[in-house]
This record gives sequence, C-alpha cells and structure tokens, in this order.
Amino acid sequence: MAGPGSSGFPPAIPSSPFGAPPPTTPNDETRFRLHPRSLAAASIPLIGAVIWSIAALAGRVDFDIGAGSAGIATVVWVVRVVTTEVTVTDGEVRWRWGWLWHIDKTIPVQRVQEVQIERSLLARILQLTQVEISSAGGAGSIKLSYLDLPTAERLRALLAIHGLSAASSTGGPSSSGGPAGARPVYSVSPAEIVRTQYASIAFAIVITGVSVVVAVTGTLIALLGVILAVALVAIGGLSTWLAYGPGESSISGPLLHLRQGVIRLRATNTPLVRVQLFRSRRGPVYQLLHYEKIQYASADASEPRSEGVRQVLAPAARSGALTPIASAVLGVQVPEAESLNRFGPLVRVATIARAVEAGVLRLAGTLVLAGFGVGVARLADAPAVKTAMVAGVLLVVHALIEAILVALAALVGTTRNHRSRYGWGVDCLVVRDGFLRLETKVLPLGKIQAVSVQRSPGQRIVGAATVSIDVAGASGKWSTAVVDLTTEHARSLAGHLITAACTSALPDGV
Amino acid sequence: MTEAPVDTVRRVDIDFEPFPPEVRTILLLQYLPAAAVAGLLAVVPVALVWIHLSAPLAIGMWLAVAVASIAAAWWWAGLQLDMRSWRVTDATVELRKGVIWKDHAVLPRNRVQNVTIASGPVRRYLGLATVVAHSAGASTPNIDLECLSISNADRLQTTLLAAGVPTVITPVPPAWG
Repeated sequence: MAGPGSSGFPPAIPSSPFGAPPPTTPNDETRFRLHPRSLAAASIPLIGAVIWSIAALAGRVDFDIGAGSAGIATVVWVVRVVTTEVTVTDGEVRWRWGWLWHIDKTIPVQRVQEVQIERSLLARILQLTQVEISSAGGAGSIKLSYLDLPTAERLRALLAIHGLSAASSTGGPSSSGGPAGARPVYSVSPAEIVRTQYASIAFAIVITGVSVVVAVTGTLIALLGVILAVALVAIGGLSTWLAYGPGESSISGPLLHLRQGVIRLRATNTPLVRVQLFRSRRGPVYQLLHYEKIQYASADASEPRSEGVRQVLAPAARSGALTPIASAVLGVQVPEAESLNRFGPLVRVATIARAVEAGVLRLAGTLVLAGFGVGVARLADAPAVKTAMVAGVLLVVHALIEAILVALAALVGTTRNHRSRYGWGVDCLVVRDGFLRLETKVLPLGKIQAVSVQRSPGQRIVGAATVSIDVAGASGKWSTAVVDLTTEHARSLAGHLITAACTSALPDGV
Repeated sequence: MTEAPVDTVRRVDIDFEPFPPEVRTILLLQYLPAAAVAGLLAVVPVALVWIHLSAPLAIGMWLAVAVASIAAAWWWAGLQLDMRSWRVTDATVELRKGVIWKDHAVLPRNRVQNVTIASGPVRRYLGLATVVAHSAGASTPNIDLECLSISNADRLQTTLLAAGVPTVITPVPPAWG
C-alpha cells in the first residue's frame, strides 16, 4: 500500500512544443465520389420492396414491415451514393455522407489497419470495385461501394503518397502471382481445399455405410442418406473453395497482400507493422492428419470478432507451416513451438484444480436449487420423503457427472503437460496450448497492449497462475493466455512481457 | 519495430495507492442486488415457518436474513476495498484487485489510447470519480480505477494524457501481486 507522501503518480509531463503541419485544401484530385452506376445496387432492395408490395396486395404478408424496410434501404442507398464524398488530405482520409443525418468520419492514414479491395458478382457486372479502409477501434472503417477502377486506382495512389504504400492493384485478385516484385508467402492449392473436407468425407462414409446396410436389409429410401452425405461433402468443399480459393498471400514492400475468393474477389492489404497476431488451429481431425489452419489478425475494427474469411492465410496447411509464414511476415525468426519450454510442473494438477473449482461452484448452485425445490414442494404439501429423495438423486447424479469431468480434466492436464509450450524468440512470443483444439499463437512483443496475472482459487491452492496478454483487435477466440504456470514463472513472464511493451515504440499505440 | 532511444531518467519507484474509504459505500450499493436475491430465496423457508410454526417467528427470521445479507454485503465490500489498489509509474498504470479471483493488470502508459472520467450522482455526492484508461487491446478490460477522489482523478487524467510521453520507457519492474 502507499507509503507516506506517496501521490500515486509522477508529475505531469509538459506539452509538446511542436505545432500541427499547415492544412491542405481539398480539390478535385483529392476528392472522390461513388460511381453513378452504384445506384444500380439500389435495385436489389427496390425489387424486394416491389415483390413485398405485390405480396401485400395479394394479402399474403403485412405491407408495412417488409416493404417499408426495403423501401427505406433503397432510399438510404441512393442517399449514400449521391452524397458520399471522400477526401484524402494532410495524411487523413475523411468520409462524409448523409442528407438528414450527416456522417463524418476521419481516419489518419498512418492508423489504417487494412485496405480491402473487394469485387462481388454485382460489382463485376457493373465494372466497379468496392474499397474498404479499416482502422482500429469501434466502427472505424470506411466502406466505399462502389468506385470505378480508375478512381479506385487514384485513391490507392493518393493513400500511397500519404504514407500507405498500397502497392497491389485495385482490380482485385483476377491474376495470379500478386503484385510485381512481391515475395510469395503462401498459396492455397485445390488439394488443400479437399483436405478441409476430410472430416465431412469421413462422416459421409459412415452415413453411406449405414444407409447401404439399411437399404439392403430394409427400405431403399435409406439410399437417400448416400445422396445427402455426398451433397454435404460437395457443398462444404464448394463453399470453402468459393471463400478461400485460389488464395495467395505475398509481401510487397511494407504490405501483406491476401487475394482470395472465386465469385466475391477480395484483395486485403495489411501493413506489416499492423499485424498483431498469428494463430494456427488444429481440431481433432487436423491433429490426427497433421494439418493446421493458419490465420492472422490486425486491429481491424470492421472484422467480426469470431471468424473472418479475410484473415485465413491457409485453411489446411501441412503441420509446421506457421513458423515460416510468421517468420516471413514478422521479419524475425519465429522459434518452433517444439523447441520451447513446457508450461511447468503444475499444469496437470492446476487443470484438475480448476475443474474441481468449477465443479464445486456448479454443485453449490444445484444444492441451492434442490433446497429451494424441496421447500417449494413442502409448501405444495408434496410427500417430504419423496421430494427429499428426488433432490438427493439429482445431487448424486450431478456429483457423478462432476467426478467424470474431473477425471477428464486429469486426461486434459496430462496431455497439456506434454504438449503445451511457451517461450519467445527475437521480438515475438509463441504460445501453444489446447486439448481438442490445439492452438499456437505468435505475438510480436511490441504489439502487447496490456498484461494481467490472474489467480483463481483452485490455482492459488496449487500455486499456479494465468498470464493474459492483450493485443489490439484480438478478443474472444483470438485472446492469448498462458494458463497454469507456476506463480513464480507467471510473474517472471509477465514482467518480461510488460518490459518489452514499455520499451518498444508504437507511435500511435497500435 | 522502430528503435528509439530509451528514456532512463524518470525512474520513480511508487507504492501502490489504496482507494478512498467511501468506495465501500459504492461497492455496497453494487452488492445490494445480490443481497436482495438472498432475501428472495429466503421466502420459501420463511413461508414454511409461517405455515408450520408461527407468523411472528417467520417475520423475525426474514428480517434476520435481510440484516445478515446486508451485513455480509458490507463485509464483502470491505474485503474488496482492502484488496484493491492502484499506481501509476513512469511506465505503467497498474490495478490490483480481487478477494477470491486475484487479478493484477498492467497497462504500459505508451499504450493508453484515451482516458475517461465518469461520475454518477452517488459518486458525486461522495466526492468520487472513476478514471478509465483505455488501451487498444480488445480482450482484457481497460484499467478501471473506480472511485478515486475527484482531485486525484483530474490529476491522473492530466498525467496520463500529457503530451510528450516517450514512446519508449524503461519500466520499473511491476511488483506482481
């Protein structure tokens, strides 16, 4: 706690003597508008409104709900196309649109996380392209639907002048090989798309076998199962191919380019300095067959927090591909997870302790509910012995389930004790952990935003702790933690990480 | 990563600072809903006593449960307050908290994106304000210094947002709790 005279914080730091650079006035060269053909996209909600209106007149649906929302969507789209104006001046991208309500958003070019060029089927029909400029933080993206190709190229060139070297073509990934002079990082082959479907294929084989047996011994209708199984595999493979294939990633200058998609073409350009995290995931089937799904994350605010197609570099690479890919992108030698330290001697017992802790909490909840139920039953004049027996059986069954979960936790702990690894190389932290889903994460040390040391009651009893590491834009399934280290190792690791964060320069903090 | 000169001048070892005692009242108010749930759960045994024994005994029992719940909430608020402390060093903003689940969060000052001061009517009455130091990180919570005195909150905001914070600082090693 505080000592005498301790104020809690150091003295304030004086203001910077440097002033802002003189502003640049927007002109036709720095101002961009959406292409008038973008209005054609409004025909989609308009057609919806018309169809809904016809259905309403025929008495099939309520008029106000569907037609109203489709009509509003049409009006909003038209207003957006007509009023959108983007200017790039003084190292800032400014986006303004609106009629009754005005939207005015500005992103400094130096804080742009990603520039994505996307050409959907509609955009390709209209000979236009969609440009999305993303920053970190909430709702920090500018989405321009649609620009013609020369205008998109002019925007790209202007962003480059202002510091974002978006060297890839704005025409989308129509040609292979990436930008001229680019260093290839990874290419998704057709065989890899097939590999993503191995689990579905195995499931389909089982379904087919069962269906054939049932068809031979019973009714031929069971053969429909074969058709459904084949359709399942075909649809899965096709949708994966449409999303990821033919995916190509490359590095050109300061940018990581990712081109993917068959119908909807995407070209994502991420400044290398904005790459926050790499992750490889292996589910049970991938672990069995030695494949891994490799993804990366920037602090892109527009990316959904769960899964994003644009983040996938390799949907089913052969095991071990993460290290060369992360090394190439981060520009440092990323160590192999196998060569790193184990989590330590407490992993097994701490895994069990956390399972016991969770089980005790759940059992306490069941106990309260059972007691409450017995009381309510007594109020309803139910037989006392019978209600007590029901509550007792419920508690015993729950306790048995918890005992099984604790036994499973012992298995998980033993597996983690052998496989889980953490450690750091030059400028990056590598963490591998997991049971059913084995994950390896690679974080540049300079990207660390905050570090926490956490100890649950179970962990405290056995002397273990968790180190949580926070980077921009990575939450939920992307969050990184080293779980069940000894408390001493956890504190040492946290100290090392926080020192690395304090001694690495991130001028804008991201 | 850009290399920058390391500022080794402003190294000040600063102790952790407790939160003001008024925070206990704020925490009590936060725990009152849990106390109300306990009172609600007590309805069943109270009703049983009412039906099978006597009404005054049931009312007395319910009052005892209510008083015990509030006393427990007050005791728990005190424990939480004792375990909660913060400090701002040259390099980091740190928060320790937790009675059962212990947490020590450290945010490098060169990662602070913005600082918020918030104060509702109860906090204003007690002369308190909450300072939140936001980072660009997405999963761990921001450093939430709940219920500092208003003067401390203003000074802290000025300190954290002062221009010219070096992007590279040699930190005082965190005393992990």
